[in-house]
Amino acid sequence: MGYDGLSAQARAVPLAPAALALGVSLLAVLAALALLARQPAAARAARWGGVAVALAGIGLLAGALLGGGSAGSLALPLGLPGHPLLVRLGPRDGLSLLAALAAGAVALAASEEPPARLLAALAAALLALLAADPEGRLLGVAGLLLAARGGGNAGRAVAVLAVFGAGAAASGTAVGTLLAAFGLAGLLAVLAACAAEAAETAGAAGAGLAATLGALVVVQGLAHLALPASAAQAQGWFPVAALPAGALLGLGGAVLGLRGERIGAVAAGALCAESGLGVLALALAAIARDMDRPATLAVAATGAEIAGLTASIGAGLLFLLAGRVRARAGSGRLDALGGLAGRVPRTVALLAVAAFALSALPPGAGFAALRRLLVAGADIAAQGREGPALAAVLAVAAAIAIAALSAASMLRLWGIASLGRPRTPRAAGAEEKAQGDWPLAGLALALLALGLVPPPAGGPGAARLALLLLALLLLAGTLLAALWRRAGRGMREVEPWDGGRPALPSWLPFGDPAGQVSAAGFAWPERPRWARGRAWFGAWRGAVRSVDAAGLVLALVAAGLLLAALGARP
Amino acid sequence: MSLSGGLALALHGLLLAGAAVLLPGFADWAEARLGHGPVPPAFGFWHELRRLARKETLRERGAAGPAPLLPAARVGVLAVAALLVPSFAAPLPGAGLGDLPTVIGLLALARGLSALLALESGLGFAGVAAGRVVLLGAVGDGGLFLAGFAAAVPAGDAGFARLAAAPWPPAGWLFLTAALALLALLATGRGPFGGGAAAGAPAWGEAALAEAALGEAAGEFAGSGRDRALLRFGDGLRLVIWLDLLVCLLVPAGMVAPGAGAAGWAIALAAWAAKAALFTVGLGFAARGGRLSPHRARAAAGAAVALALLAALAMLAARVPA
Repeated sequence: MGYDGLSAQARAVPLAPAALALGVSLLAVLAALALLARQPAAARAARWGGVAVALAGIGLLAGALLGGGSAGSLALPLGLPGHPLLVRLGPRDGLSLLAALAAGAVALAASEEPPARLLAALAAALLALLAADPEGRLLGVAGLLLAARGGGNAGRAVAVLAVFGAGAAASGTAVGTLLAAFGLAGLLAVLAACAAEAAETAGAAGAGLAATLGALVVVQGLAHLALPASAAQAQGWFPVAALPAGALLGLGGAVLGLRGERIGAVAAGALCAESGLGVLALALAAIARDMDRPATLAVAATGAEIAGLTASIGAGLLFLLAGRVRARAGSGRLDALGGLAGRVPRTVALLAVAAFALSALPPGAGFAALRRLLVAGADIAAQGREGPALAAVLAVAAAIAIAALSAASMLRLWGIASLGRPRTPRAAGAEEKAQGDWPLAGLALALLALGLVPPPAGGPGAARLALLLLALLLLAGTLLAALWRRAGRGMREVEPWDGGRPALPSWLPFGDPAGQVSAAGFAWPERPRWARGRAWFGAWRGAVRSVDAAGLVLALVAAGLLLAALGARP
Repeated sequence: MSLSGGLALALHGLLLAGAAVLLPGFADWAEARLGHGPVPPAFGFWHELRRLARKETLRERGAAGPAPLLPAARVGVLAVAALLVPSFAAPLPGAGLGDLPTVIGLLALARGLSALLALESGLGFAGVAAGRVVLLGAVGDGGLFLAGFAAAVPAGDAGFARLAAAPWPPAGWLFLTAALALLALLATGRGPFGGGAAAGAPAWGEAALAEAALGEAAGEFAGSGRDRALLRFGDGLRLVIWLDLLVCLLVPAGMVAPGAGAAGWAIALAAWAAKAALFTVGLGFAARGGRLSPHRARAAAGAAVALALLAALAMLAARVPA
């Protein structure tokens, strides 16, 4: 029993992967050109060349999705002696590739950074998505980590590579499945940490794109592990790894999003949170497959796909908007923003779309994923089998916590940046520029459409088109209330009320910056008693540092394992 | 849509609108009668809404962005959520548009809009209160989703018609009742978490943890006239949504199918009115013990989550064969 994914629900993907492999090579060459070339013209040529390659790939894939046909695979003349890299285009990979190409094209077109890291991240992610064997995926993952490189995370990146490499070496076994699942979840955590760290630096867009594409790689890689093409390859241990991995990734991301002080850091947290939902949905899908519940399997797997796409497109849009806000208002730090709604309305509207999709509120894309997860969890729990039922309750509880915290963090992000008064004179002088609007608007439209994906016919869940009708009803209700408000006795403009405070001195022309709630104050008004002592945080930091130190040792062990496994393979 | 279904939906809408403008006043009255202090008129809420609707709406100079739309959007969201939860008859036409998770999400969305309104006012006090309400609401939503999960698994679906028709009492009914009662009090800012007119205390200040107080404060700072009327009407709608949610999940007895005929409708309407009266009296009793501090409210939200988790585990234990 298998599940062919959203793309296959439309049509199977027909394309031989040769054209895409060629595209990956072209992108890698362009990245090298952008890195080595000193003239701005060469960098510009590399940037727009990358956009052209990505757009060609999108056209090819879209034609394939609409046209129907069969999947294929290809051995590339690359790799270790006797072990050529295999690339393949499976029926489940179409949408992930499409989203990766779209995010890459938009990032290249809209970002003002040098394009080398963006091109490298896109090429690496495409390789990881296309690779048919664990070695190829490892190569892509390593490329992603290089493109996202962040000074403080090198050890952690190596540790992740080590776990992933060991998983690749033992692929096909239960241990390999466990290691690969944890390695993939760790990969996203490290990519997000790099993006959060680079949030205010010159490499923000590159690190952001690497993290964005990393979410697609992680969810697609885990989907292949959870639902392999043949039932014989299925690993019953997958949920045991995916449940804690998804819960940790999601909850960690949600807390990072809630506490992040920069838009980029909040975006990195949201990326992990939404991807965590996807991983949990995949765990439920694997359980449903083991219990022989095809309808539930389809619901959970669709939920995972929607979560992965929402994470990458939504957080990708947030990363790009972080750069845009920095360019318009001088800073991406929430405590330096405020009142942007009246000054840069288009940026704020795009920010609202991304934040709403990532907040798991109806009728957004995040909610579409959460709802499917709840439906699948309820169906599994209803079967009354001890282990799966308990796993379903735990997965649902974790998903609920992730969704609730994500909603709070997105509200904080949008509310503090867009509403109230500007917190700095620079934010008060923010100005909108009509530049790079359309690519971002395209991503926003894709996000809106993702929330309205109808459930599969015949499966558990509400009526088809329900969310679309719900969205229309919400609009109608709002419109009616707004009309009633306008029909009142009239409106009078008054001076804004300042809470009765005494008049401010003349050297505070933009109001008192300390008079509004801060980003940290909104997220955590009072630190609870259990978090007041320093010992707990110190122990955590020590653990993370020891991972850094152990990374190199782990990498050596994993490389040895990988080589041994390759040598032992016929 | 059948004729009886359409009629039932229209009656459901009328019932909602009527209850939303009357129930908060009745609840204030009951709280004061059962507690201490001056007793407000039972129709006070309705008179206040009419007074506000006739007043001029004030708009802050230089206000831009989405702020003027927020009260209307909040009412729109709450009205749709209220229409989705059945009161006296189920399933109503359009029931497929949303189930329990959708309604919980819409309630969270409405709370988010209140918080945005408070942030738009630019006042530190309002911003801190918005942060508290959003975080407390996130914990409460977790409890509500879990409680809904515990109720939906035995029913086989999270649609309200199936929930109302599930075998009664469900496993872990006591845990479910305690969790939902706590969450209802927290979300509507009533009973020990309130600080409204009935308690004779300022609606703003230490009671800022309650969502109702936030709406009040946001209205006080960021709105007037019809804006404020919309905010208050939204509070009424939220109270009715919680009444219908409790009826549907805990005491669905008396609910009929839309095609049950005039006699069936009369009995169902009477049953709903009796439950609403019981709910009002219950709110009054809940307020007798006095108000709790914000720290206690946080603990209460945590307790609600724990109770909901216990309800889910009790449901699980009942389903797993020995």
